[in-house]
Amino acid sequence: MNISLKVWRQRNKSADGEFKTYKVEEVSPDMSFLEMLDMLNELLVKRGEDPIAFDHDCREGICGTCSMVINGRPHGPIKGVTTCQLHMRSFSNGDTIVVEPFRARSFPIVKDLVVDRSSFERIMIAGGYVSVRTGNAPDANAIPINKHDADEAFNAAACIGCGACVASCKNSSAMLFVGAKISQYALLPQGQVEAKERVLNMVAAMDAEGFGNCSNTGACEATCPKGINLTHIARLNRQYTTALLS
Amino acid sequence: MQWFIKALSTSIGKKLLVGLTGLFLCIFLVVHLYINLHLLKTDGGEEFKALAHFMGNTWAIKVMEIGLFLGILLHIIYSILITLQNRSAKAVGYAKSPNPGTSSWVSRTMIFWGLLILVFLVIHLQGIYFKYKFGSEPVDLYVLTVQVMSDPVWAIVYILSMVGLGIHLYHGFQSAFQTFGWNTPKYKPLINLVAVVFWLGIPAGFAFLPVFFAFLGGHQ
Ligand code: SF4
Ligand code: FES
Repeated sequence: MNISLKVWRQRNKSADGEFKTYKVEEVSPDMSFLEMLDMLNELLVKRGEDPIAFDHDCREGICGTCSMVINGRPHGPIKGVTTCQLHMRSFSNGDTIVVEPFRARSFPIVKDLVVDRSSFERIMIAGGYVSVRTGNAPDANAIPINKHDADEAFNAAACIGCGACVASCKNSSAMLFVGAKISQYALLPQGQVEAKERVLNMVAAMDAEGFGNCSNTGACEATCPKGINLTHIARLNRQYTTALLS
Repeated sequence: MQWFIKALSTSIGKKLLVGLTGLFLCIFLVVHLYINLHLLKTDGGEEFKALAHFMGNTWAIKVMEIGLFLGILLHIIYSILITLQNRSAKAVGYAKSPNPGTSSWVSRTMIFWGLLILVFLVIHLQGIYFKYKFGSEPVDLYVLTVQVMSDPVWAIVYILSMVGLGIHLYHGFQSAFQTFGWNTPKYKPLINLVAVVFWLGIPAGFAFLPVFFAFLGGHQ
C-alpha cells in the first residue's frame, strides 16, 4: 500500500516546528506503524535527510515509550493498542496520516515526535513505592487478599506509564496515570504503610509538574491502551480526601 | 483551617470545592423550585407570597442566603481558576482534533454553560429579586413574577437559560460525585438515576412556569 504521512518536525525543544509531508510507498499491511516509520527513515538517511526522531523500546506494548498522536489519537485509531502494536492494515491504501507529538506543557518536545516524560518519573519518585523488609521472601499466601481487590490492583498495575491519558486530555491531566498508580498500592495490604503520605505526595508532585485538573471528560479512558478506567480516578479522589481529613 | 487553605491550592482540593458548592447550589434549586411551583395554585399567590415572606424573614434562612451568594461566588471563581490552569497545561492543541468519539461535548463546554447561567442570574436577580428586596416602592412578588413570566420575550430567555442549566447539570452533578470519589461501580447507577432528577427534572420544572404563563394562557 502507498500512504502519505504528515509528520511534525521540530529540531529541538526551542525551535519552531512544522508539518512535513512524506510519501511512503510499498508499505506492507503487516508492518507495525513503527516499522513503517523505520522504512521511511532509511529512505531519509539515504537521501541525506535527518531521520524522524521517535521513541520506542520494547515494541511489544509493555514499555510505554512509543508516544505519538496518530490522526488525532494517542497510539492511533485502534482501542487497547500501543503504536508499536498498531499495524498498517488498520489504514487504507492512499490514506494521509497525520502524526504529531504528545501535546502537554509537562511533556516538552525534545525533537520531532520525542517528548520528555520524566515528569511521570518524578511523580513515581514522590510515592510510587512500598517499604518491604529485606530477607527471605515471605510466603505468598501468608497475607490474604480478596479476589476482587487483587484483580483491581492488577488491572491498575497494567498501566505502562505511556502518557496517552495526558496527551488526549484537553486539560493535560495526569489523573488517570496517578489514579492507576494509587490504586495499585491502595488496594493491597502492602501499600497501607505509606498510604496517606503516598497520595498527598503524588498529588503534590503532579500539581508541581503543571498537569491540569481532571474535568471528567473521559478522553483518557477512551484512549488508554491498557484499559485503565475512571474508577481509578474516583479512588484517587477518595484516597486524597480521606488523607486530607485524617 | 490551615489544612483547608492548603487543600485549596491543590488540584483535587479546588475541584472538591467546586463540587461541594455545586451540590449546595443544587439543594437551593430544589427549594426554589418547590416555592415556584406554588405559582401554579389558583389562590391568587397567597401561599407563594407566604413562603417568600418566610424565606425573607427567618434569620436561619438569611444566614443561608449569605452562604448561597458565597457558594455561587466560590463556585464561579474556582471554576474559572481551574479552567485557566487547564488551558495553560495544554498550551498547544493538535492539528487533528482527538475529541469526537473520546469525550462528550458537554464535558468540554462546562465553563460556557456556567457563564451563560451567570448572565441569566444577573438578569434574574435584577429583574425580580433586587426589585423585591431593595426596590424603593413595595412590590407584590406574585404579580411581578407572573408579569415577568408572561412576557414572551422573557419567557424564552428563561426557558433557554434552563436548557443551559440542564446541560451544565448533566455533566456537573455526576462529576461532583466523581470528585468526592463515590462514583464507584457500586454507586454509579444510583448516582446516575438521581442525576436525571437534577439535570432534567429541575430545569424542566422551572421552564414549565414561563411556558404556562406566556404560552398556555396562565390562570385565565
Ligand atoms: S493510564 Fe493508560 S494512558 Fe495513562 S499512562 Fe497508564 S497506560 Fe498510558
Ligand atoms: S515500544 Fe514499548 S510499548 Fe510501544
